[in-house]
Amino acid sequence: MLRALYSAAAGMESQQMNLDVISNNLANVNTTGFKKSKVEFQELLYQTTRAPGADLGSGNQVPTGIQVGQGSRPVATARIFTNGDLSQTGEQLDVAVQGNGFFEVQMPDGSNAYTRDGAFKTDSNGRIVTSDGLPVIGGFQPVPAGTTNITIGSNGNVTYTGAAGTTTFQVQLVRFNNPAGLESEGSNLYKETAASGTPELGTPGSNGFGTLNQGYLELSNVSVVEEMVNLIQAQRAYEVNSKAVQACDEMMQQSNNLIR
Amino acid sequence: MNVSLYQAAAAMNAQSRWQELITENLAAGTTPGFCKRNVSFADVAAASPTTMNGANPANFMIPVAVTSTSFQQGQLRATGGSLDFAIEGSGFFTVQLPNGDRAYTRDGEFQLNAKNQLVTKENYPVLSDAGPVQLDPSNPGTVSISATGQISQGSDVKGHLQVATFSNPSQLSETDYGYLLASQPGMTPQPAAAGTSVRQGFLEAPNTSPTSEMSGLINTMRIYEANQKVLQMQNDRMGSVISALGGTS
Repeated sequence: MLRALYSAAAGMESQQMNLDVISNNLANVNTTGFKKSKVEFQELLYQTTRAPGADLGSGNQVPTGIQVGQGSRPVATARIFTNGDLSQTGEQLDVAVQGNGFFEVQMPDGSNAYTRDGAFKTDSNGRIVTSDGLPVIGGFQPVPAGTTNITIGSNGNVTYTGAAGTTTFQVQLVRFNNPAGLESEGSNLYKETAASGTPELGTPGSNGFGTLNQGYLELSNVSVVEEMVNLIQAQRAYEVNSKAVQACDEMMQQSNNLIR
Repeated sequence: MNVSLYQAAAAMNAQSRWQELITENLAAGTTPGFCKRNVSFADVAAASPTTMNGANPANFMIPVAVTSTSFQQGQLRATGGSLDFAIEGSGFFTVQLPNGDRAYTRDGEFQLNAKNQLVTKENYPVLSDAGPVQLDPSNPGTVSISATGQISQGSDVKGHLQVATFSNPSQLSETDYGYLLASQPGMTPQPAAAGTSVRQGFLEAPNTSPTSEMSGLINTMRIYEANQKVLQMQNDRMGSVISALGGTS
């Protein structure tokens, strides 16, 4: 009786985390470069009262056995790295990656972080920075004063033209073996971990790297309809588990009332 | 002598102690840094029965409820307050009580007092490595704290907030307003471990889970009810024995 109570409670806790992740996805439906998460569940350990295959004597074995589970628990929140839609903004420094690849930025403590958010700006020294002021590395050179035109080609070829002349250079993107293993830092940034593999630099458009699109921003890959359906499922799963808790309570009440 | 009466009564006592802890956890609501109470039941020997031939059967055991505090990380709630701090990882903020003792807390909802020092809601100064944190009222810079606990006002560094950890936090004793004292001998505060960080603009929600408290409540109520039935049955049995055999007629 008590095992049913704790299994149902574990089920409700799992659905609560499911709801947390769905709400986060919905809250970030307009965040540039956001990648949605999904919760994956796993069953808990089984309690074996009668082991399948145990010897019954006289050459017979237990065919199926008795094993009761203890509930479920969340085991991973997997990031889904599908491409988001592109939205045209027309800004010179807005770049969207279509395909594989991250921009590399430098954190204040010197370590590197990676992002899909290509809404770049220039700081007072002309360096290309993110909206948080973090410098973008990977080949980007500072914009000289008097530049009138910045062109970013889909293969990473960047050209500055202006009063100071013409400067051309190549920028590179970074990709990982297991992007789902990256650690989310918040602020649209990801950090490398032992699970993601080492960053691999490459030219956009070659070797499976994505292309750069100037004047576009990558929208979040959250689909509102899909999240609403997941929300309904999580809510009903929570409700159904609470019914199991109530049924357990009533059964305990019945057993207590055997003595009048 | 009917031992089962006392066993049932002890069980009901233990269950009502559990219910008190559940109520305390649920009453915490959104108190920042509240650490939930856990209950565990221990068996204590109540009586040792003897038999006619001197054999030694097992002791009668009664349950006793033992309280402990869970120092698991609670969820971080974003408030945006510049003086709202939360610790991510194990560790406590160090504050100074009016009698000069040091106390520890996870509650990071701080304010400034009239002397521009960083204080808790009860006006106890929050300690940095060099005494209370003194801020400058004439400095227009905003107060910020780094992940390692370094407080700065604008670009001026004002001190390093003291975040203490203990190897056995279950030995901390509690005083008024939920502050913890390290009064047991051998409890020395250590500097926080490398993974612990201080977050600004967040408060730590209590680490209780209403779902597990409610299922615990159902559990304790039904066990209480079952023991009450045992008590009632023993009472009725003794009554019928007395009335059947004790009547003088």
